[in-house]
Amino acid sequence: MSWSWIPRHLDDIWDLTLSHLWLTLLPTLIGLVIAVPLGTLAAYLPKVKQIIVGGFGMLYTIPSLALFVLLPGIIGTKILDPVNIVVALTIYTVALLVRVIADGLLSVPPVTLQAATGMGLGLRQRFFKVQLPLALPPLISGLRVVVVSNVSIVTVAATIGISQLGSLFTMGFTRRSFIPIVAGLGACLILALVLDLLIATIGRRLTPWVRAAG
Amino acid sequence: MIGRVFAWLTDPANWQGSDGIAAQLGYHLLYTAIALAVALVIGFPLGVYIGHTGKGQTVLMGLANAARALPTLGLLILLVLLLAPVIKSNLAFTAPGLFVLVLLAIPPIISGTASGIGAIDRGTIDAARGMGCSEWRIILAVEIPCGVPLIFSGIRSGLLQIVSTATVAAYVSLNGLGRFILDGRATNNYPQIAGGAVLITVLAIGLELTFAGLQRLATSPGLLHQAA
Amino acid sequence: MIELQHVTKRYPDGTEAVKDLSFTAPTGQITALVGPSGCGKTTTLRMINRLIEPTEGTILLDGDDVTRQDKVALRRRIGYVIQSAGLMPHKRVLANITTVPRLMGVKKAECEARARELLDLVGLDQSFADRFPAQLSGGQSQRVGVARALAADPPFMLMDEPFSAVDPIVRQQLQQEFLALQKRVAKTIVLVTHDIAEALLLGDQIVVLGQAAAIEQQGTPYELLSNPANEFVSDFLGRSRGYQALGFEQAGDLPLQPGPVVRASDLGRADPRRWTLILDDGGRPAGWQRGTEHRAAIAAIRFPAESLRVCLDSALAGPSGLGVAVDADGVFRGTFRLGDVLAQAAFDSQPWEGPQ
Repeated sequence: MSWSWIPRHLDDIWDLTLSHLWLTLLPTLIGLVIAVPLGTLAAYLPKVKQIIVGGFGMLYTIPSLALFVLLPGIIGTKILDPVNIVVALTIYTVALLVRVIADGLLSVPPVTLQAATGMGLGLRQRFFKVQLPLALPPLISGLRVVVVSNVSIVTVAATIGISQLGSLFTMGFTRRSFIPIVAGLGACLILALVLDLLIATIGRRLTPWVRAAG
Repeated sequence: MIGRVFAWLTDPANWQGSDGIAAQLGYHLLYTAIALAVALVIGFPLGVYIGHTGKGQTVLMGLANAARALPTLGLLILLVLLLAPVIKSNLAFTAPGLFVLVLLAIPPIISGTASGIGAIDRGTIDAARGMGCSEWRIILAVEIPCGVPLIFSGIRSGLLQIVSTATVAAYVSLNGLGRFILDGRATNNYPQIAGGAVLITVLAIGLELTFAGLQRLATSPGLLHQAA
Repeated sequence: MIELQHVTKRYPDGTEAVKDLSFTAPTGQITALVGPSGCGKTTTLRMINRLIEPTEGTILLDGDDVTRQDKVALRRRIGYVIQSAGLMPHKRVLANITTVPRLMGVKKAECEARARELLDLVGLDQSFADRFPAQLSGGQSQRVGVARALAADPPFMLMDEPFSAVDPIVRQQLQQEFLALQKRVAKTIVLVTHDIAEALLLGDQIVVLGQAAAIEQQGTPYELLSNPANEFVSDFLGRSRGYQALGFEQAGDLPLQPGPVVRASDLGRADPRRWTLILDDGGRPAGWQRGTEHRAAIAAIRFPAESLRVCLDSALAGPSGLGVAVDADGVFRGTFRLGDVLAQAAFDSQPWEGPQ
């Protein structure tokens, strides 16, 4: 196999990249949607926090390959179903973000919250207009960590036959050629970089006060 | 389904032999222990150095981020392909595998140690130095004991990374509990796949709890009061 | 004695934090280095125990050049107290206090017995011995910090803003206790503060530092207050320096008069048109009375008075310009007149005779 293999298979690599993108983004977004209310709950109820953070912490401990193959037995999917990957990564995402969100909400200074109440904001307004926005910077950095590590974890699914960029690694192993592997590593790194930048940019747009503070 | 997985797990025949559960569990633990020990020998002193001197923080951050973005499976296979022709014998598969395990565990250990030491109140260290503690004593008697919580969380995430990657390493013919998943996949034997996954889960959670317990033993109660 | 001779600290980028500084901190006294933030006072302090190395000049501790000594051994001869106490969070109070003697190889039991004495000395109950720093208030931490600095009984102490992290009421209390403590231990102390009131209160000698630790004035608190060397110093001393100066002026022979005073049981005999001091059965002042008017507050001071300032306070606080003097037991000794206090304060003043 020669280096020309890469340009000749750009279409295939692009298809794998798209699958990879879905398998990464979908659980990240679902995880975020689940983690925000759970994290809020955890921030307000310390006992619930222990259970949620502790429970997801345990789930986070399960190695990805094991979780990928355990899920079919639990949720009744087929072993090759990409849903397994999405569910597994959603669990990891929630595990990481719940803690970040709870800590972020709790780190908003009480004085700021009291001032908001003093200005006449109701509890709900205070949460959405003051507390949540101020917890955004840690949430954004947590999300960046999550998305980058999700790109990496998805590749593991190639060992059980689910195709995405990781399939380039297994292909390289069976054909004893490092060319697809290099292509896969490059594509993964670019994908991780692009998603990271994307979230960072959105984060900057959402939190203009952070840059103002230097 | 659960019954069949349970049956596989409890069948004594599956536990015996050179590729039985007991043996693979042993391999998994052995690889984990070796990789963690090597990663600690390299990562811990580096983390202490960075935390104590404050040098190399930016390099460290970059390294940790890169390590997170780098797919372990790709790295593993690439190294096996590159090293296999160089190393004759069985080590051709084991050595690259172990190498990757070590490589992945080093960044969290370094950054946990460095940030654990870096997070200590500067006044505490200044006072210790001003009282006449030597630099070595400051490191051994102040910085490391006070950094224990973050140092341990670095070690624990390194450990988690090792256990997880050791599972995947079965793909490049490394022994360990990952074998049951991949061999089961090849023969379409779901009880074996799930049984292997259960064993890995129990092992990972067991090690995590063990280290959490060790951390509690190593942490001065004074530091717990501080967090409260 | 701590001597600094032409000490300069220059950083690689050329900035001079301290430039050609010389002063002497006499044995058994407190020398307060005071100045605005960034004036190099902390750098100066930290050069004495070589946490910062001087670029030029000599620092002598009882005649020994600090740069010729092993840093670690040097520091063990010098107690060091910093703003936030800097206690080791993972060690209990007793272990924190015994750190240095333990390093020097003193037996554990001996160290701990000494540490318990020190707890008493700094006014902490023995029950604090087994607490962790996180269980202490700011003031308590600072007391432990002082005890720790005294543990190896070093002849010298360096204190960097030791009382500025606690609230004003606790600070006053700590300062007073510290003065009482220093009377007993008589260490050679260099104390850094940005708070001129603290320097005036604690310093036997004050060194006012300006930019790059240039000495603007050096002297006793009274010398500074009564005769500030320049605008920088008088600005730094603030508006009430005249009044503060009285705090350092001896009360001298303030004439005491025996009345107007009356026993509580003889209240009827008091002149209803003038303020009269009422004494209880033990002869202690109990209040002022004029006809049916009564004031319970008496600013009685112990005689002989510690300074003209307290005399002035007492006379101004009384309803008729009379101060009240009592003895050590609180028994009435006499009253004194505001006019006499002012006359003493103005003893040196000359009448202005118009432009010459």
